[in-house]
Amino acid sequence: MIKNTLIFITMAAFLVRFINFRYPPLLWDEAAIGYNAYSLLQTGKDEYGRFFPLIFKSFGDYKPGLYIYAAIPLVAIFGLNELSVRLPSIIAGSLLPLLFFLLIKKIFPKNDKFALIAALLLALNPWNIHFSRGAWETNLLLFELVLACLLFLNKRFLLSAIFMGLGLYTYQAAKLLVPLISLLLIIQTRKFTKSYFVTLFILAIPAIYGLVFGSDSNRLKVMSLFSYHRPQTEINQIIAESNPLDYRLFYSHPIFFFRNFLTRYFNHFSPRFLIFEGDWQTARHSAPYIGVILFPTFFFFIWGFLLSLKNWRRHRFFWLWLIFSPIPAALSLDIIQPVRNFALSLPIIYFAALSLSQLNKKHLKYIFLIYLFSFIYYLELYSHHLTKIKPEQWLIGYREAVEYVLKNGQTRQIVFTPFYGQPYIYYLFYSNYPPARYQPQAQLTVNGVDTGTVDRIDDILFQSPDIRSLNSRSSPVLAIISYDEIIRQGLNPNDFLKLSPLFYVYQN
Amino acid sequence: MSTKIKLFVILILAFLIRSWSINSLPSLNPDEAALGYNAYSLLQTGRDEHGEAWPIHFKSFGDYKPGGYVYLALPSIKLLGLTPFAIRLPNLIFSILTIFVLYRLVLLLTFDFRLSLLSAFVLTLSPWHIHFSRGAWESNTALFFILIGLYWFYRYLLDKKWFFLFLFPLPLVISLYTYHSARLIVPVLFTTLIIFNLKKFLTKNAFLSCWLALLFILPLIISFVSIGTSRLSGVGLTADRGPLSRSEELLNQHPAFTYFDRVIHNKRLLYLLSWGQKYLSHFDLNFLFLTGDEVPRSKSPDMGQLYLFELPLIILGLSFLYKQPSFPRKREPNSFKALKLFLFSFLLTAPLASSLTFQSPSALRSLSLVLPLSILTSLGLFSLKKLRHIKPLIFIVYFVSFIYFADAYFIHAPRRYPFAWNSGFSDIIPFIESQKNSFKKIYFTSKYDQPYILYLFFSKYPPENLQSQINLSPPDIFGFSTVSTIDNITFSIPDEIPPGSLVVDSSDLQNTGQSFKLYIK
Repeated sequence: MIKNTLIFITMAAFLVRFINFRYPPLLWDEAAIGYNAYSLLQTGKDEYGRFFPLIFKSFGDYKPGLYIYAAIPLVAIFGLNELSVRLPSIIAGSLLPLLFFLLIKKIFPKNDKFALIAALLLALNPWNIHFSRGAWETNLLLFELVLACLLFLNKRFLLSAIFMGLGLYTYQAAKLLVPLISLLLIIQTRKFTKSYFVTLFILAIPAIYGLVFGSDSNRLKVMSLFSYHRPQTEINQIIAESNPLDYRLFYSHPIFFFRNFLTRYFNHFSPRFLIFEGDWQTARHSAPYIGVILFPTFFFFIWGFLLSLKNWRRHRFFWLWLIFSPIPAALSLDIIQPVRNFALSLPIIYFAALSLSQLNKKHLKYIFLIYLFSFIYYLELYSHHLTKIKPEQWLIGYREAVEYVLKNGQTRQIVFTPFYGQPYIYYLFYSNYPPARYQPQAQLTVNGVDTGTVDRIDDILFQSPDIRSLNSRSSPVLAIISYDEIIRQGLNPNDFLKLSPLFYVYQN
Repeated sequence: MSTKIKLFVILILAFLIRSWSINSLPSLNPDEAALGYNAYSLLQTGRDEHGEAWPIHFKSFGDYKPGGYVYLALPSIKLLGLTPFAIRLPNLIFSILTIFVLYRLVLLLTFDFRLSLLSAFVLTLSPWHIHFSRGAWESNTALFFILIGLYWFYRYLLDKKWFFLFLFPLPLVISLYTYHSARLIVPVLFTTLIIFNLKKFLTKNAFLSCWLALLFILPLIISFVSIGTSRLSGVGLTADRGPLSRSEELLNQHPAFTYFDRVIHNKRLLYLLSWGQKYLSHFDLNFLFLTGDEVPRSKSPDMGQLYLFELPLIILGLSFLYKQPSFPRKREPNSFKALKLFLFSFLLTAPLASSLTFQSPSALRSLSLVLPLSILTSLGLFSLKKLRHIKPLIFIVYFVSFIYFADAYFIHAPRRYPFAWNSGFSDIIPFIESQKNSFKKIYFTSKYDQPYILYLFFSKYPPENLQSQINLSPPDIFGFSTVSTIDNITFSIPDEIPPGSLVVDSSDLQNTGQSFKLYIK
């Protein structure tokens, strides 16, 4: 019975994550992951020609590369396309409910109902669905963390340490999460397991090295809250209102930092984020006009949290997880960060399932109906409105544009607009451009802190097309131009062939 | 020290914090001035500023203020004259009494002196309560009447004294006459409490008491219906056009919308969600503990509604509640259950009225939240009693937090929000009054919301001269109006200023240190 239910839950989880896997369109990072995996598979080197790196350079930024390695076998089987890039995340996301079930069973061996409800909620949780449907490294990290915890509690310390260690090479937030969750495991088992920590430490050496000496450290400084200071005018105002001593006591930089940290920390528990708006800064991180968990889950989460207060020591594992998980997100500059904060989804589901498991069958039936409505409401917003509210954030039409270029551009000079960023990676991805030919010409023009651009591949130019000068050319030209550029050049979009709300075609 | 002395010390402390330089800080705002001037006008002429005799709702800026506070302020205005202190005095007294009644109520519910004293202490130092005690805030006065109604309600329930059955609706009725939000909170809160205590509540006189209460409310209902709901539409939930346009946006994203799409993107559903968001925003941790209300008039800079350290204490308090400890219960086998029911029904009903308005979360409209949250804080403190060595630490944290708040409130706020705190009026208006006859026209800046009422207040303008000439402007988007001319003073500055006029323009306090600048044309 339980086995069948679990199979059913895993199947359901897989289906919601897999169906229509091309939607939403690939983001830059996903295309880069795919192409680097392809490049490694074909040549043993990444797009910049480096031999099997641990940390990948990508758009001038550096990111841990485990996801890319996970994608290699899938690229080998399915070729370079959306499916092979996203499948590692889809699989990790579909298996997570199962692992979560086992983890809760490990903590409460007798409570099948609790663990099953938790698995089901997790399978259908918007937050987890969202990040499982794309190649999000954070999703793979969460999978590894839960797997490592499970192995640790089953006394497989060595394997556990290996998965924890892999986590460090999966996603940046792991550098804080891995130590915190290791601490959590000590608290839970009340044992300091030497073999685990020695293995983990050995695995962590390259990461620590990168953190201290490498390019990582710079990025960490710039992108985090540590670089955020109170503007001088504000400081002057505070001092003018009272005196310098008062400023030093109550408004100085450490206090300012602490307040900013806490605002961000609290934001991740706000109803606005959890059920009403999701990430209100970046449309890419959640469905529009709805939060990252379902409406009823929020109320059962609160209720379950209150219930857990009765005996919080029994629930200390997820209690502490709840407290720890927003820390990496709260240290970033963004006011709200569902990607870094993704590990928070587990304790929320845990407490919601805790209160739901106290109810009897009759009540659960009604609650199931409420859940069904809420889930349908979410699915509707996700499937019909996600990419329509802010199409420019979802980069609608890169695929169509590249395919158009490949089909119609053989004999023409091609100019592709970089207006929406990094067009070159889409060109490489969708044309399956031979990595061996690309690596020698990979030239990144660096402009600013964490992005760089590629200006040309062969004779394809990635620059803003100037229609008037292209018009006067005698050689055949094909230009992909953005809507905004057409307007800025004072032209009429209706004179162009429309590929998507963002991209238009010009041919002379 | 005996409990009585401790309580006395707490109340003295409360009085000192709340009354210290209350006459000038914060500067009088237009709403307070309106309450004061209307009371003054009633005392002098028997009519309000618009010439209405003894009204239930005061038209004021077209917002029809509930009249309770004006009537409560009559004695102090009569005795002390028209000064900021006089109009604030009733609320000051009620806020001290609130602390006392809270002590009595917690004592009644739990029979624990320590916990009751702690509750009174926490409320005494609560930034939220201090803020709204220092000013003529009807919200805080209404809270006192709700609390005493609750206390008498429980006296009837737990002590079984029929006398209190007839007494408890009385303050509740007064609270309805005093503040808009109470009209929603009181019925919902008491219906909930009565339903959960139905057996104990229903004695043969219960209906009689309810009918009597309804009889007292009748004039209020009639008055409320007659003024119409114009105010509600100005600040109500539907004043926010967001959900409406969101509904249209979502529908337009379907190439051809079906019945299903119409249902799922219905504007009513989106308004319901918008209401839910506003309601829950009152429990947002940033609002409660870190940044507070967004309205400058209701906040101190860089300060939450409560102290940050109250968050862990509230969680401890909740955990204490859930662990079901035993208080020395004398009479009631389930008095602890009563406390739990009281706390949760109060917590959940307090933001109701506030969530139905445009601006949310609102610390002013959801002020009642401060009571259950203070009790939870004191429960958290109470649960720490076994840890003796932690006492000095808590004392230090409390002390530092209070200093931080006092610094923010007394020193930073008036300079940070000069416009919201209307500073400078008390100095400039007597001067204008003295110059009034030497200029043909006086032009006064309209930067502040309703400057005319502050002029009336500080010049003690004779009400009988006003009633004949008062003329309200058409309401703005929020339903508020103002008066643009009184005698030769115009409360706006035109582009063309005729010669021989005195102009009072606003000035940037932060840069110049002055609220106004004067010049003659």
